[in-house]
Amino acid sequence: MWCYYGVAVTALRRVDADFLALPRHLLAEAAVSAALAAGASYADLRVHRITTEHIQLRDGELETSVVTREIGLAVRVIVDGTWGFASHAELNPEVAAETARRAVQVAVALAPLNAERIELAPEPVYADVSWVSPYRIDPFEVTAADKIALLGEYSGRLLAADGVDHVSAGLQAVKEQVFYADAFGSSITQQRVRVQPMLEAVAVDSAAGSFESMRTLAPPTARGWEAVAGDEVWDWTTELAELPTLLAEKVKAPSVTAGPTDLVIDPTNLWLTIHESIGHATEYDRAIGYEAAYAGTSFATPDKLGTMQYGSAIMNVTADRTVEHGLATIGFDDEGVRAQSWDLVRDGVFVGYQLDRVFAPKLGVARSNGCSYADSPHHVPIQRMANVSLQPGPEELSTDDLISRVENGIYIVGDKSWSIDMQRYNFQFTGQRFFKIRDGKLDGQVRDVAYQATTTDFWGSMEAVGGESTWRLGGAFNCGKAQPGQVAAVSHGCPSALFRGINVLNTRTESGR
Amino acid sequence: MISAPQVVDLVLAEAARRGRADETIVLVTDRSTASLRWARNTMTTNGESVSRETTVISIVRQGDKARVGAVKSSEVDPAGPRPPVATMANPLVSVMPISVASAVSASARPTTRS
Repeated sequence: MWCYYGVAVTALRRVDADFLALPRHLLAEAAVSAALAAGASYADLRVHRITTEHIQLRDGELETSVVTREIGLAVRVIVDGTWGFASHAELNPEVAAETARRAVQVAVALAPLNAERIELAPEPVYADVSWVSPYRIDPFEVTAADKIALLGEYSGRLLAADGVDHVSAGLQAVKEQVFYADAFGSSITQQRVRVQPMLEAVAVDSAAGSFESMRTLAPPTARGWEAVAGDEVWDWTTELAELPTLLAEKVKAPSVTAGPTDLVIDPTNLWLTIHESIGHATEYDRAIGYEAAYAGTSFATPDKLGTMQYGSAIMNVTADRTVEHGLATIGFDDEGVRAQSWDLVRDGVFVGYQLDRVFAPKLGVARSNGCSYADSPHHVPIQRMANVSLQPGPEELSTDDLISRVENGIYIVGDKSWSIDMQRYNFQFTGQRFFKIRDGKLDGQVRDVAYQATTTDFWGSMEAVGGESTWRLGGAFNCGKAQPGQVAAVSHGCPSALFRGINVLNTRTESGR
Repeated sequence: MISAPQVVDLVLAEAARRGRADETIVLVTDRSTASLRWARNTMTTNGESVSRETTVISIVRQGDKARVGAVKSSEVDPAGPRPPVATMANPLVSVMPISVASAVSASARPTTRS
């Protein structure tokens, strides 16, 4: 799906002409040559443009409509083993050269603070290559009026249903374009698009002074407008038709009985548990104490690599930046490393980390697995999460097959709130929809459910995973990390899965209500 | 980079030339930042940045209702391939639905999850 121009062109689109018209190569030549002349042993330049549109409706009325465009250039240098970084909003060769000299000055000034010499893992040179994510309709070629009208129409369908008192509708669309060039000779131009549509229905019980809500399950995805309008990618017709009934059932559902419970967890919920308990835990910078912002460090330290039982023997987790329509999918990372796929957990054993070109040598591996990313031209690239995904089982088990194995349990659908400690170990998650399982069949909804476990106990209790047909990508636009804070979009794929004896909490009781 | 007052003048002139908004608000924020991170008794990341953010909010009045459009951009080169003035002086007012009376929440970044 990704491609090099001149080798194989399979993408549906090309990089926008106005981005290609920027003086990318002149900027690169100016920045890299100025950095090397000023004493750097290495330099790279990134021209980064991010266009974001955010629309929000409340009960069909527009609340927010903002288009944001960020563009600039960033220069990263190594001087005598020390990083230096500088960025500027203006795109001309003189500014690029001056920014490179500023980056060198930063490195020289801060060298006394650097106790560990920077070494970059080698990577083949990719000269003048390009990559574009696959999408059919550029969301920025659709007018804001059309977007607002569609969200209003979707809202209207929900508001027309009995029992729905309020509806929130939101859309985020992002187009990200990056030109990267380095002193080794790589020069890479990339463009990717992603959308996040969401609707939430709210039922209010005025007499009781309470409310209940339920959100659509459509995931954020690296696709275009085709994922929002019509049923080409997501069955909006069915989901919007069913949501009011499901919400009404939820309002009347009995509160859950707390205690150890067998759970069948749908991919629409399990992706977030993967994100928090595996994705962040296997970021190498967290594991070695370089990073703690937003998500803490990690219990999965390097001394456990290759030996620690992360989960049951059927647990196989990959990290990759290649899966089709994944939010972290890319052709090359922000250090010019080609996208890859690799194992994090194999047959239940912890076997891999997410790395960039600095962390690969620290871990003692020959090559970065391509996890460098910066969310802005004014932010330094750091190790960010790949698409971390639980693999389906070899047997084609359906979600119904998994449910049929449960005598008394709960089927959990859709993500909601989460909580996890700063070692990515003790957690609890809630969800959108909870269906009682009785004698192998669904038996209406329950409410007020949270599940709680430690990471290794939870994954160790995984008895069965669904087959390929149950595998879905979930994800988020807003994974936070670093200081200054950065956000990144990431997907997580997983099948439905069966867990035995997980501690279920009653959130109403827990909150003293 | 042209100066911030020049940006304001250019955007307001373009908005006036187009004549579709009753009110136009221009915000220009110039920002220089420096950062230094420290972990395990060594520097991990650092950086200096120079950036500009221009926000244009246009309001079209219709009786007791109003239509509002907002665009934010960090582009600084008016001669670039997508001139910010031309782009930004025509925010969404021309395409917003009619019965909208709302404030614009100009939140550029979503909340983060850890």
